[in-house]
Amino acid sequence: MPFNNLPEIIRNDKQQQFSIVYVLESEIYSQQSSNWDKTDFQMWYNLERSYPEPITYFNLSNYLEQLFSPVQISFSKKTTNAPIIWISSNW
Amino acid sequence: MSYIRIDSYGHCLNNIKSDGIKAHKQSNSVIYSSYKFVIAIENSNCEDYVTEKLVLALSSTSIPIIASRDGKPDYARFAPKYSYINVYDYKSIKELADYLNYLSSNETAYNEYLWFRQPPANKYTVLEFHLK
Repeated sequence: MPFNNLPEIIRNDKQQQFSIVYVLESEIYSQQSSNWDKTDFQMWYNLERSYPEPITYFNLSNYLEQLFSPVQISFSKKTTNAPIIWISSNW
Repeated sequence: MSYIRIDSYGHCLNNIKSDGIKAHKQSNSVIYSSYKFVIAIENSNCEDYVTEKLVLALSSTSIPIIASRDGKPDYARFAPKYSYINVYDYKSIKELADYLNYLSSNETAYNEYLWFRQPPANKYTVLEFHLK
């Protein structure tokens, strides 16, 4: 869709179906991002307003076992190289 | 990175290499687990925009570092209280780094963020409580 022909998005409190995921998932440094990277998108993402079902990437209930699993590597066995890890992109 | 060491595996500010990560042979959560903290900040700050970044960090059983300003995103809807660190809770980057350095050298304080993983937790009851 041409960047200058995006549908107008008007926020209200009614449930509505969004096509905003495309915008959220596009990385500013990805190919073809030059068409929209300076556009000031109005963005919101509210599960209660989405229709016909909540728009999300995952169902949290599928991850209950992992989310509440015991600690995998204890404090004393953590790497001492750095306390923090950041993976901005695998590519 | 001036106040605290961060291993950055991605293209942005890259300072460490991993063939397993690059080739997707290894889940990010596996390597996350060997670190004390994981930067899990979303690309956008919207009310319910919480993605696999948080899930992978929590799954690794390390502590996620997130960014939520004025409740956007509202992480209280997705994760137990006191299970993550919000960068906006600190007045400056240095103050945040000082706190992370403190936690990374104090096992007792660090483990308080893992309270919901401690046995004999009735884990499903806890999750249900916090997600409601």
